[in-house]
Amino acid sequence: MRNGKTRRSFLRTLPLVPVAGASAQQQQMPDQSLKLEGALAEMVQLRYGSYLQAGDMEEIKRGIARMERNAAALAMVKTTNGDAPDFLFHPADTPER
Amino acid sequence: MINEDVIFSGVRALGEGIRARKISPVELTEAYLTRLETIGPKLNAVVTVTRDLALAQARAAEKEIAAGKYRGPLHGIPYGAKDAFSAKGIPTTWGTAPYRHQVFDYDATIVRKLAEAGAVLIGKLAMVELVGGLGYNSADASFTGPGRTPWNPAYFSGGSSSGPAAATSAGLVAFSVGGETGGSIVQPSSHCGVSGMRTTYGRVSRAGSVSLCWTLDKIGPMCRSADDCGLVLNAIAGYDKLDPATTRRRFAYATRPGRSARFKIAVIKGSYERAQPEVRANFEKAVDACSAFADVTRDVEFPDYPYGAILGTILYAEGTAAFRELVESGRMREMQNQADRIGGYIGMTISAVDYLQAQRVRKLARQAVDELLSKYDAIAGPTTTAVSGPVDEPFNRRAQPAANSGTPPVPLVPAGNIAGVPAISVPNGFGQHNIPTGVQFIGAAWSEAKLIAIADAYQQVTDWHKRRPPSL
Repeated sequence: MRNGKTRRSFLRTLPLVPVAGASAQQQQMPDQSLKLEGALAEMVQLRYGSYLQAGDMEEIKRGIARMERNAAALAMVKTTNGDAPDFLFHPADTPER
Repeated sequence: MINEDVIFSGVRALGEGIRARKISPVELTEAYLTRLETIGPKLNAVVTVTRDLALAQARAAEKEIAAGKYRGPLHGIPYGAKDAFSAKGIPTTWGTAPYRHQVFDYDATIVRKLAEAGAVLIGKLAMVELVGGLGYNSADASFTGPGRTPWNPAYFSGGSSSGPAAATSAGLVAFSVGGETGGSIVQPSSHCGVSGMRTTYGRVSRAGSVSLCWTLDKIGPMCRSADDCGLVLNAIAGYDKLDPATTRRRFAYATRPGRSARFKIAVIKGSYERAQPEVRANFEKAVDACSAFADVTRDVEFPDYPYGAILGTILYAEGTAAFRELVESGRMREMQNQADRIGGYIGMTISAVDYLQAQRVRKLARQAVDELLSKYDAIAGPTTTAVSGPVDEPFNRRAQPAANSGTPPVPLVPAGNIAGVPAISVPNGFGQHNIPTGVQFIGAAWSEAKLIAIADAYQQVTDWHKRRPPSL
């Protein structure tokens, strides 16, 4: 693991509730996360609200929360400027590749 | 006479019988068509029976063989195609209600190649809607109804290649072709007790197939044995200018390879210990059986990366993009499964930067997995850590083995798909409710022939792949 810490050990340290002695920034993280998820859910409501049925928005919020947890887990993996995505662009069709 | 012994004999045996003119392709096709039409609906395995096309192809095959023109081991063999693949003039529904009347005027490359090999297309087989990519959370996720395993039809066949797995298992087709993005060949193969191969990304052309994830989708055979998988893969593998991801590396498989040296197989620490007891027991017996032809190294550490987060982000981002017209038009409301009705809206919230981070981390994970695989001929693990659940029970309500305590099992199937490497799942026994369990062998990229040899060696010392489900 490139960052010297296993993903599993990191995730166990994520606070679910604010802990005594935590910095103000750390205590703000869950609140910020909720605000972000709320904003994304509002975006969905604005764009697609007419397509949604009763109960859908609660499931969508849960799904957004899952995606945010995924993003947080991925952000924990240290990447440098040189770490490119695992796909390439080709300027022309090159059958010889 | 086409009796059940013939029906369940497998591609190689059928091919030999056809070549020797002891089996008529037309009679064989009629027999499978009857089973597909009468048993298939009981398993929700069929979308379209292609009776007219099948009989025309079977008659052509019979005529050619009588004239001395033999195309190879698939000549005259009836098969089913997951309804992800286009067949000219025949509905290709993608298992998804808005597309149930969709018809293409061309064959998918694999359908064309199988026709050139002389195989007989007898049906388009059921699949999970949206190729199972946007979060379906119960078996009832297709307009054809929940896929059912022939071993216990009250239980899910697995997906998204639900029809191919069930039809092959129940002897409704001699073989089938499925697709996998995150587990959709190996998982249903395990639940239905068949031998299914996820190929290396780029081994088989996806031209003419529905796209779920452009960087993850793969196509592979689902058969009664690993040996049959080799014969089918021979016909469908290869470069195709219509799919730029395909490789020019050749795949050639003719017969059981003789091998004097023993294979090297790794068992990953944390991949099976917390499986359902029967799954674990069957896996451990499978590993013991492998010691007859392989040196097994246990407790091997697997690279620690957030495979679930990588796969989930890519699936939702690419899958939503692939089905964007359904999201923007509101037709997602026509999905059978509630999770599928809203999955695209969740996907629309993933930022480009987060998607790219998933692909960047994917590269690091793939390189680590590749390095591990370079040291062994294969990694062995249970294909799934639990047998499938009842068709009327949501997935998240099922009691998973120690699901809420301790470290979750090492996710070999997501990791293998993220790395784009091949795997073959073969049956290794039975678990709860008489549902089959499977052992998977995962190998380095382009190592399909070796994996088939390993699985075939396992099937030479066991007979799980020869078992037949109860009559339906």
